[in-house]
Amino acid sequence: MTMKEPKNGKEYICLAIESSCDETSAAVVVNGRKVLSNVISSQIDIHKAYGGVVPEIASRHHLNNINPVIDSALEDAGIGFADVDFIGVTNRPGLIGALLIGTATAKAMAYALDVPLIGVHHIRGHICANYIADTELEPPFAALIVSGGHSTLADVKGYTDYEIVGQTRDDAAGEAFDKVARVLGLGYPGGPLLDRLAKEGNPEAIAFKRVYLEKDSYDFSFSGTKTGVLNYLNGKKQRKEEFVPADVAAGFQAAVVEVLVNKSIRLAKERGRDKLVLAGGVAANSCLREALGKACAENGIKLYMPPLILCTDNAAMIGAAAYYEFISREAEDMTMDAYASAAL
Amino acid sequence: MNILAIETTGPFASAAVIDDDECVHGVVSDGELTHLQKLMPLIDQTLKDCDITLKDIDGIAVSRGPGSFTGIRIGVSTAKALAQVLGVKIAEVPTLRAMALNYIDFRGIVCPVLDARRSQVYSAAYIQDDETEELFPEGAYGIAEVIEKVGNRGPVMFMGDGVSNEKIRAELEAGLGRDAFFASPERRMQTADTVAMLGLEIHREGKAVSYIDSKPEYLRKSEAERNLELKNRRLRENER
Repeated sequence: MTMKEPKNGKEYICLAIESSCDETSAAVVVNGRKVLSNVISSQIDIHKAYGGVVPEIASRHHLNNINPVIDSALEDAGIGFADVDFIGVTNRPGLIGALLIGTATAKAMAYALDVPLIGVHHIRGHICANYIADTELEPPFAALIVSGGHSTLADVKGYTDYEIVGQTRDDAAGEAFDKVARVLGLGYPGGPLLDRLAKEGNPEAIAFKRVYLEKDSYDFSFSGTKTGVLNYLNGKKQRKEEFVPADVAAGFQAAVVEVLVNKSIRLAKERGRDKLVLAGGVAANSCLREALGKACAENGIKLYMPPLILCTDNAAMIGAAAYYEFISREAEDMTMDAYASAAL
Repeated sequence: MNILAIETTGPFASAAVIDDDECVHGVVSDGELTHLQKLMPLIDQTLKDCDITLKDIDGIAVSRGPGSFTGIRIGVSTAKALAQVLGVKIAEVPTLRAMALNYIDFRGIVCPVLDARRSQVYSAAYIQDDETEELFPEGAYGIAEVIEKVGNRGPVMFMGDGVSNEKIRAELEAGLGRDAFFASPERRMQTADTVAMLGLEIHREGKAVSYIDSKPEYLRKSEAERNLELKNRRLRENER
């Protein structure tokens, strides 16, 4: 593979674009590690009225937002289009209508600028957020990716070499958090609100089911735990008994977090990884961060957690992932598509 | 002035270039509904056929809807991104008006009908004589409404995917009898060629807009928005 020299003679500058769900984001990232800008336009307030992300509305807002967001990212970074060496864009997985705004925009810009285009897997982006947070971090390491759409355990063997070891068989962790938050009447987005409420509760007051599946499995299942909460609440309501919402939140969160932590530690130990990386929107959960920190310390594993701004969907993480793809493989051609679902 | 035109609102994506002499060259996708994959290669092919590059493009024209929501967004986002990088303006071309140009040689009423589901069509109509005049503006209409608006005014040429829909076609035929004419398959759908023609006009009139101001025209809110409005209206009525 022949690669052009960087335009500034030193480092590769990536314009990165992310639009897979309800954040429109653009970033400028240097050599996959240094973030010059990371502009995020969130639609959370728009979707609140519907209790969740409405794909058609998300797509419409992405289209309105994406060009000014890109302008801001270039301006914040103090560069122009002419300085961009390549473009990275999330093209899988996600809401298809949302993905195609970023993808169509990136394709047209790469073509007009005559620069390479790299399609990035959204979850690889979440993992690579850690390369920005800690510029010394290098693979191999074990990774736990938890978000509204994913609960995944991966063995990251190299910058572009990922092995999925376990996945959820039903609800993603964040999805279960949102559903329990909804039945507790906490509003949207439920995860952070549940986390806040749980801090006031006793996690041992109610023991919800921990689902470990087969003895050697790295897969997750959270729908049973979620149903346990629903049954508990229905029972209380039927019998017209009082219950403590904070205890329900704390108990449910403890059950989910315990399984996530134990399987992550087991993976790191079994694969001989002395590093564990946390990624995805639910990585912002304080209970998970605390429990994982404690377990890693006890087992001599170094834990990497991105700062909160890099946990939610953002384009900087896409720029990090795109760089390592860019230096190791051919760029995409102009027939690149977007995909609602895709292997890691 | 060279204008690059984009059309992705219907089943076939297409691109075209028009120059100052109003000479149009267009390329149409051979497949259905793969607009994201096809559009950039179509643009590349069109430019190569014309022996020019994007540097020779002075403006963009995009079919801004109505049509497939997803299709509209692929075209508009591509147009906006190209305009942003190239520093050129965008002509927001009304899809139905551009379609009507497929039958510019027809004397009478031309009426594009796009299947909008929920028993509606996206439609508009133009009276074509020595000059062209709008009979009714673009909107989502019931088929009976369209028939009422164009009825008893002489021959009407219908075009668009509504013509390919047996139910819509039968209703139009039943309502208008011998006044109803239907576009032949090769002149039935939207193409970038007529988007380019209208786009050039818009650029010449100085009515093209910046990539920031350029917007799609869906002619319809999302289902979730409509449902929420309905719910809120009922709540308000119950309160009274």
